[in-house]
Amino acid sequence: MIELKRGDRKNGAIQALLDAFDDDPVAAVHAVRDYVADRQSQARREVAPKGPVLLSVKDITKTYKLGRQRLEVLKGVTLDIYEGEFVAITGASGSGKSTLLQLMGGLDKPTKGDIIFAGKSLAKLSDGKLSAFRRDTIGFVFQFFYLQPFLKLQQNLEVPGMFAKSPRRVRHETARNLADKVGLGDRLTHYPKELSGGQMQRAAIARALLNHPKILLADEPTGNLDSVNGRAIIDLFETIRGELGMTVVIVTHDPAIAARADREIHLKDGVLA
Amino acid sequence: MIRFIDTVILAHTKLRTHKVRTGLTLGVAGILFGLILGVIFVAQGVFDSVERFSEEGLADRAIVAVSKWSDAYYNQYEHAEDEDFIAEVKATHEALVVKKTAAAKKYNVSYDAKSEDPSPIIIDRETKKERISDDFMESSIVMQVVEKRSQAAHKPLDIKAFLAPYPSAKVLPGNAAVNTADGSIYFMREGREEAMRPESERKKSNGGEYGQFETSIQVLNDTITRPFVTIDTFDYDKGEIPGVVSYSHAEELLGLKKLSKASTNQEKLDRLAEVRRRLPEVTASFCYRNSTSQALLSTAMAQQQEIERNKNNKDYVMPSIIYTIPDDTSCGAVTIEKDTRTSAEKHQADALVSYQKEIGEYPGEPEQQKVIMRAIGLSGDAPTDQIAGSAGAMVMGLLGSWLSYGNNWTIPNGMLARVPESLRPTTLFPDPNDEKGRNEALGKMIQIESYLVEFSDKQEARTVLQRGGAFGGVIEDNALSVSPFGSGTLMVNEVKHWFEIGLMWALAIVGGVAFIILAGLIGRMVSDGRRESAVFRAIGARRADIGRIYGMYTLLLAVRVVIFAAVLGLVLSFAVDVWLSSDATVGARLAYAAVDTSKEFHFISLASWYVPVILGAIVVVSLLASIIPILLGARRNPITDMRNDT
Repeated sequence: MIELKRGDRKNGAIQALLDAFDDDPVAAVHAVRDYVADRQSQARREVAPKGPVLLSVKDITKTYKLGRQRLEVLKGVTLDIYEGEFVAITGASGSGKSTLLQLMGGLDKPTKGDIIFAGKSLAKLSDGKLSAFRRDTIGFVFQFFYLQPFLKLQQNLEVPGMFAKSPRRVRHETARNLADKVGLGDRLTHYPKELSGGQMQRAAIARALLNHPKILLADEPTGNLDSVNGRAIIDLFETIRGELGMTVVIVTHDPAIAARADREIHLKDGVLA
Repeated sequence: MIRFIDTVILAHTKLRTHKVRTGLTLGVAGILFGLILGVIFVAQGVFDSVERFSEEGLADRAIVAVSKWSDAYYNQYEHAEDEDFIAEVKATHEALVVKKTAAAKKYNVSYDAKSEDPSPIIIDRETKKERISDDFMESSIVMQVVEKRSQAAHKPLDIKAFLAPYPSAKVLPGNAAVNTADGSIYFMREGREEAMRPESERKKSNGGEYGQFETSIQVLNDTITRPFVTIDTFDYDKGEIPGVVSYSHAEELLGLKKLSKASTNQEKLDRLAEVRRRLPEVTASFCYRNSTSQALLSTAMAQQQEIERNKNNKDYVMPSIIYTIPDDTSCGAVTIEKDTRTSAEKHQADALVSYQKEIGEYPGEPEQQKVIMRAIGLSGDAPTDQIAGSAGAMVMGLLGSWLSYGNNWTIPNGMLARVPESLRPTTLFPDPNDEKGRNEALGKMIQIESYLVEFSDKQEARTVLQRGGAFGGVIEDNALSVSPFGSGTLMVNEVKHWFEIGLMWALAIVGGVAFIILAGLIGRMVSDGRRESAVFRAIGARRADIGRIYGMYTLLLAVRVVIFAAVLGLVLSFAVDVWLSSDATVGARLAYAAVDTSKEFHFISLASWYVPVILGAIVVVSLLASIIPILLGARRNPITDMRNDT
């Protein structure tokens, strides 16, 4: 739902939009929604607290070998992510935004450059330490949820705890709390196939939160959802950020979602636009 | 590192994917290993059953019969044109003619060398050279030379030298066939002499006239016969000789009609029990007659028939000597009822005897002896043509414990020694105290020396038998034959040996096939699980965690193969057991003529060290098959795998 503020109505901007699309109510609604989102984002940017730098991307390059060809996906990207920030990475397909997110999450190492997380260089970490880093620090959310189809929701949520060797009782309790938080408390005994797309993504978010990560990295988290569920997921991210003070970085195509972020980082052909 | 139980939880999810592929792989691997397990369960069942029954008879003893026949038999047919041979035959003939002529002159006996004993040498029409006449090939003259040459070339078996490489070997003394240098010992069917029956009543024999080869008597070392002896008390003064009788023969002697092939197992067991129960009743009579006695009996019987035919012929002149035929149950001597010869005729007859003695052709005085055997034990039947048709027949053939082939009586040498000497004349019975342990008899031409050798080390017995082939046989370079004696235990050992070799090959082949299909399945599973592995890596799994999950998946898969194979093996062996056990139990009890009739022959046993080997092999093969796919899977880049998926 779009909530209009008294001021908006008063300054006549909304009215102007409605008037402009008088003959096309659907377009009018979209225009109003985009306007409101833009205003809200602007407002958030103005009020967003700028904490210390949590993650620094330092001139990273990532090259993949495709047969004999070398594909340079990222070309000297440098940026900082601050604690508690909600950042959207946008860009066209193939611009390198998912790769950037995965490198930030320590899933791979950059070909050149470095990523510094809380003062630690990820490039210098061994594979095992990088795994431990991901396990203890990062929460990943994917477009296709990637829940284990043969595990019930409860066990699905506990999977990161399994790799962290969390005590069963603790992770069990945490999973239940998280399920409640994402509105799936009554679905813990269900298998993923018994959940809707939105529910599965909420479950995936709950799973990402199980080990109390410092940052949530989401790759197109709404890409496989309808707009209503998509917005609900973004609302959930905002809630998490708000309640847990967690840093959230999402990759998205959707400008409306990007508009709800504190900051939008746009990538074009592997470089910041 | 991920905890064990969590590894199981995650690995178990993989078993729920690709159910058809997993099921097929499990099925094929399970069937292959299940068949091997089935064979092992059955084989172990057989081995265990054999061991159980081995407590009966000789089955747990490793006794090998070592025999040597004359390796220098001079074949006169091959040397019919050999000049030296011809010259020796000619000289022998000439010497005999000279000797006979002189003796005939001395005793005033009519002798025409040309008509009575023409020369065995003729001139071959084609080659124009001297050769032995075909008509004289088997003549006494030729055979004398053959025997002389054969004996000269024969090298007796040096059993000590032969057994020198086998320190555990021990020759068992006191073994000999009851056989005679002159004449024969005949089994008296229904207590009557076969030769005295009318022609129409005589038993058609496949082994010589009057069935003398159908039933034999032998003397064996006490330690061999002891397990078969079940009747401890024996009256040595009753005129009988104690013996262990073969099962079928005992059945026949008790007048029991042989059971038909269609008879039930219970009927067969009941029969065994009846034979055992009635064993003290079993006796058999044998009649020994030397060749003079046999000839005299034939003459007397022919004379009686002639007199009978001419009883109404007034012109018939009765013979000058009229014989009395003994009662056909007595094995008695032919006696002279009436002798009307003139003194000249008597003198002529005496002269003929003197002449025969002079030239060495006197057949001797008639000798006959009735021998009554009484059963003191029962032995299984030796394998004959029964090794086909049923499990029972196979068991009987392969595993039985027997003392001789065919219907036979075996006298323990120690017991024979206690029989009064009058009942065991040396012309008939061997010396029961003979320490040589050699059984040499059976004619002058083909000499057979036979020893029973017991090995305390079965491996040595195996080695000896292997010299004659896997299960014994002829040792070509020594003109020896070696064969298992008394039981199939050595044969079973050999079967065990080959079974082990076959099993190892089967295991290698099955293991190879299982490796390939399991590697295929695990490879596909790892490949299909790349995205999931990438997600796990993203949420904190280490490469080792992924490896553990797939390793556990492989273990769970292997456990399923193990369970499936074990169940299949059990079902198969159980089915075989249900199918064959009853038959085999009867066969085994008959084969061992078992005293303990509660023993059962089963085709299933789990107590084999091969079972854990096979089950371990399944796990090892599965783990080996998983190593490469797991290593390759763990080395993959999760970003690549997630990108490929989207």
